[in-house]
Amino acid sequence: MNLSLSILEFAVIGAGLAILLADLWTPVPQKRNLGYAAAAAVGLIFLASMLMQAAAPAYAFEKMYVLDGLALFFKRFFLFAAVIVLVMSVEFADRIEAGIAEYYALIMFALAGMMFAASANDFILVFVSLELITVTFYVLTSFQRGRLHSLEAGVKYLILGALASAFLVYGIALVFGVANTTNFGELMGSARVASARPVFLLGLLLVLVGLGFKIAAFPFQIWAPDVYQGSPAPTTAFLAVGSKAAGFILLLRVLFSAVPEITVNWTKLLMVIAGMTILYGNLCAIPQRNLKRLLGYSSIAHAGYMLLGVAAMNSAGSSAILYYLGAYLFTVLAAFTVICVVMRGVEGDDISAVAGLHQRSPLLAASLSLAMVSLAGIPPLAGFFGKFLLLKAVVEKGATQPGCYWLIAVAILGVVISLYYYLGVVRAIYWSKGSAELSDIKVSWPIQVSLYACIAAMFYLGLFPDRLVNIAMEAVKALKL
Amino acid sequence: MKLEIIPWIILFLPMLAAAGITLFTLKSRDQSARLSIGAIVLGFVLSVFFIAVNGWGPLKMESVASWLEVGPLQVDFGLRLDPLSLLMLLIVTGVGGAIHIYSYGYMHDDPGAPRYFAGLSLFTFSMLGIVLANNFLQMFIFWELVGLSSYLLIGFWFERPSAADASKKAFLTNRLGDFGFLLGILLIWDTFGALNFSAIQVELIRNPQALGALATVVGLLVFCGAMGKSAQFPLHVWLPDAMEGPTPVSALIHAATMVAAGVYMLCRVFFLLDASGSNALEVIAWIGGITALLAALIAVQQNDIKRILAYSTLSQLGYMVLAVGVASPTPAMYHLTTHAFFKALLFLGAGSVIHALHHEQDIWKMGALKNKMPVTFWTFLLATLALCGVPPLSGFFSKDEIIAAALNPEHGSVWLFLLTVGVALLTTFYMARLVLVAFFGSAKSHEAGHAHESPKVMTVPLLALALPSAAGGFLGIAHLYGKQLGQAHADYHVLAMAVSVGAVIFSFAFAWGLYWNAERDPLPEKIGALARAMRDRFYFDELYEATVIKLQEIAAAMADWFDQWIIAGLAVRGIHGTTELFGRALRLVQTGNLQTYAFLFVLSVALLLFFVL
Amino acid sequence: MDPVFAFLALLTTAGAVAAVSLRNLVHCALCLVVAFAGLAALYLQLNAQFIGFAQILVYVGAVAILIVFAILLTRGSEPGNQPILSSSWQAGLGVAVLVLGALGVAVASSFVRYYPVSPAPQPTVRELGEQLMTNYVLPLEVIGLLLTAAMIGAVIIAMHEKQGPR
Repeated sequence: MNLSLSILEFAVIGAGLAILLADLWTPVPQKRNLGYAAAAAVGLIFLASMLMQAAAPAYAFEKMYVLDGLALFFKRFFLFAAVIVLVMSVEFADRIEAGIAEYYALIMFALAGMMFAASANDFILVFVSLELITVTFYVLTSFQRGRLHSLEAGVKYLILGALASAFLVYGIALVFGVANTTNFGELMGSARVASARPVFLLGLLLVLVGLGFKIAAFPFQIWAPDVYQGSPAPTTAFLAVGSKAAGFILLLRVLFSAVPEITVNWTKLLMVIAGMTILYGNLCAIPQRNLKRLLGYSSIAHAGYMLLGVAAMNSAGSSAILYYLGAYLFTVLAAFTVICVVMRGVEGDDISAVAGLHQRSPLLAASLSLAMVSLAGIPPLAGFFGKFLLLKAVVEKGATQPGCYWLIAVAILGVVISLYYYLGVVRAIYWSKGSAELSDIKVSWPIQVSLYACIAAMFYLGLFPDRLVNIAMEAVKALKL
Repeated sequence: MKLEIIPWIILFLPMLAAAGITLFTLKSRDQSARLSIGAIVLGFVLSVFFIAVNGWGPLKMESVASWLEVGPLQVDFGLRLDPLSLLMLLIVTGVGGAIHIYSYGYMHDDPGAPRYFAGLSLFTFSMLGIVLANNFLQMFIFWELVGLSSYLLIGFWFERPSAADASKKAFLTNRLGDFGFLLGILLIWDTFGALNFSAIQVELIRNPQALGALATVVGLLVFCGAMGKSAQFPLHVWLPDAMEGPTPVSALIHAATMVAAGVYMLCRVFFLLDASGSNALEVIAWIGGITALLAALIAVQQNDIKRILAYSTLSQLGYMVLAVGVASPTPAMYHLTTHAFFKALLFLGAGSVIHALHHEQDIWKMGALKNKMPVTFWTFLLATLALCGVPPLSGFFSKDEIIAAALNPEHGSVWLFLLTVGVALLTTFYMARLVLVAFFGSAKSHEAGHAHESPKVMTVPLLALALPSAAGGFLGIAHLYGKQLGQAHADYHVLAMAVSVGAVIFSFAFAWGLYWNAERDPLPEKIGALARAMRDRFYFDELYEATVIKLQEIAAAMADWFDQWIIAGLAVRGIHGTTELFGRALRLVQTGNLQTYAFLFVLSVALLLFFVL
Repeated sequence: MDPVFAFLALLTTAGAVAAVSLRNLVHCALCLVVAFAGLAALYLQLNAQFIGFAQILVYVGAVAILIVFAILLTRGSEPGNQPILSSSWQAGLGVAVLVLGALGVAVASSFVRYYPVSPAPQPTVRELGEQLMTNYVLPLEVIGLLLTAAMIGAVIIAMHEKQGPR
């Protein structure tokens, strides 16, 4: 057993517990600054993760836990996202009545869950890490107790999440019942035999249902807009980035590491799901006036784009997902950071709240606009190249699966539709009049730093995508593609 | 210092200016204007210097920096320097520079001027990027940037709803074409594994059948991009609406540069369109021809001075596309160049008139401006004659080459030839109408009676542009393009010349008869319904409104309905049966909502299971 | 069919149905206890002793008591005036039947031909404990963290009840 492999997770858990302890001795006015300590700790762990190498996959805990390039890629991803989310939470602290230290700690526990998920090589670990993420998010979504919306989001997420978890665990039980193992490595051997029994496929499908819920893929996307809208902004950001990415890493592992022989038969299914998800997210986003709800629908659409990479079933597709997630990380975090700062004291998160933002704070205005432009997939920002790579992967697939061209048409239609609402936000920022509130917005320096970092990353990834793409290509070698 | 660095400086100067204005000088109109004008004028000087020292360069000179390596694909960020791009460089910085300076006068009183100049510089940067790109990906990225910056400029007066709508229309229409372009690029990548223009060309020469059955598809997809940017039928609807932007923007974007990008791109990748087994050229020729005719017909019955020029631009772009379609890229580029001069001059002249008349754009409210605004009048007249193709002005030569090319036996046909002649007739007619009504006769409004010549900062660029408009035929431009793209066909020139001069004389006489001292348009009475159809632009906008836009509305309404069904619908059906407002407040208690979510969730699971098992 | 199994199955199902259909919440909770107990008896009948006793200890003992307490502390026992069934219960029933059908078909077609399965292992509590502390120690630890997080969350949200929004 090799404990040192999971050192990063334990460090995160330790830091989270330390924050809880430190809360006891911290005077009330200083409590919010614990968030900076938490961000610094996670930042240090992020830097430490850069020192780790995973040339060949290493296993621990009876092969339940694997550390390979893919796992490491996602761990870094989650760690970085958590740093920004923690900084955002400090900004949000005064809108949370009590328990801010617990808020930070819960974010870190969710982070630990995501990191375990990145390394999961066994259905048992898949289940417990997913539950750790989900249960933590139940609390994080309903943290603003004073607001009915927040509690409502929590309850909705709790009940639908429990439903999804029930399907997931039932599916795992069925898979175990037939194959007599939950380990991905052993499953791969027995999957061909077991696939003759419908109940095995049934189990796998139910597992997919559980994961589909996490990434908000059609038809399991219903919860997303309500929960995104009601939750505190940092929670929504972490949900949009971290929780979704955790769903994707597990999806990739289950489909391409545990049962690749069965997955190949599901191309059509995945294509249909991807297309419907794109259309649903984009169409429903059009009439939205609530910024967080709009981003909720947009996140559904983006899950659809990433599912294109899954449906392509080649390493180009999977690496494109990784690149896309990287681009999505910075873009979405920039958007939510701005929302978090601007929506102070604004009930309803209506788009009109950002009207005339460029006069109040050019930095916030530029960040939000760039984020929207990047989400819309306009070059030279990061979002463009992600879509480019995904489409290319599907084009490659098109040689063997003519239906792919329809999928491409749908994806492009989605992109065109999405321009409409993304540019609506940009227009509100620069080109709308009649905003009552025109006072300058003060932006604290940690927020400034994270915004500048996100902007720089959006440009860097858009202009020089090769580095990340090559890393992603290396990472997906862990999958059986 | 190596000479190679100069084009890089030229490319990035406007970007630096745009960044500088956004970051530092948003408060100062003068400083912003100076930065922006300085960048482009310096760019022009450097371009001239570069060409003077380096000559027109070897045919294929590339200056590259490694940009990205994605798996097997290597993309360089490179500048391609050959006669084609160097000439375009001169046009963009030269004509663009004149327009920048003119803008300083035109936008003098506008509080948003710094934003305007930032947009202008960003646009120049993107346009230069397209011109200098040496691979598809780089070109596409700048292609999109051009779309974005023109969106900002068209919607500059955003407080007018029409301007905001126009900018959105332009952007969306362009994106529609761009996605075809992007698909074309993806297919090219898939086929050749490279995106560099010269690499693809080499590969295509080595293996002419490389594209196989896809040749036509690729050609047409790439053409989709040009259709959007160069506003070809049926994506032409955005260009006339884009006249909502400030007039110098119309001159820069919608006459001289952005719309020319499509034609430029077609010439740049002409080897692909011409690949063996491809029938793309035929489609391109006809689409160009139809656009040219349609737009010329519409222009005859427009009353807004800028809209007349906009449709005239459309029509001329159709000419150029037609020329590409009959495998004659040299005349296309030649006409593009001369057109950039005289059409920019026309727009700036129109801007000068509009400025003098306090933003009056209806030609039937002008009149008798000839003596009040002499510089504007004479330059405008010169440009008009050039556009009509009166010898020995520049337009005569370039247009003549296109008409001759339409007759060439390989790709052209008699029908295309007749089409070009018809367009030539119409061109003279509507331009004569414009000049006769706006500048001659009697003043038809109070403003027209009290108009004054525009300030020097606006008239000097007019004069500067008048020079190449007049003498463009004698600068050896066609020869330069010909060196790279192949010389134009030498046949039929005499016939073409005779026909086009005849068309000018005939049409002008006809227009004179109708419009000399006319107080209102006599044409509607004579041809009735046809004139109405022309005035209403053949109902294309209405048609699109009814289909494309309605479709989008239906989709949005459906989505809205779906949302409402879940949220509001169930709130009504819920326990309390309250109004929606109350229902929203009580959504937490009204579990009907959540139950439906759970219901849909499980229903989906059931459907999924049945779908697969 | 074994009459004992039939009896237990009926008892469990009847308890579960009563738990969701009765009007008085305390009665519902008590019926739930019946369902839990019936399930435990089923486990015991299948020779799964550990899980059977765990079911009694955890569900009958702790969870049910917790539910009763929660009902008493929050809203008292007055029956609500809302209908038990939501208006769209037919649709719900339809979907339930659909899912059940899919599961039933899959299970039936998978196991009929493979009926003689290997004898189920009969793990002792000791073996289970050993497995949990060795092979499955990582999931165990993660569950520990999960429970910590859940507890913190419960405290945070419950604290609100006491203090009320400021």
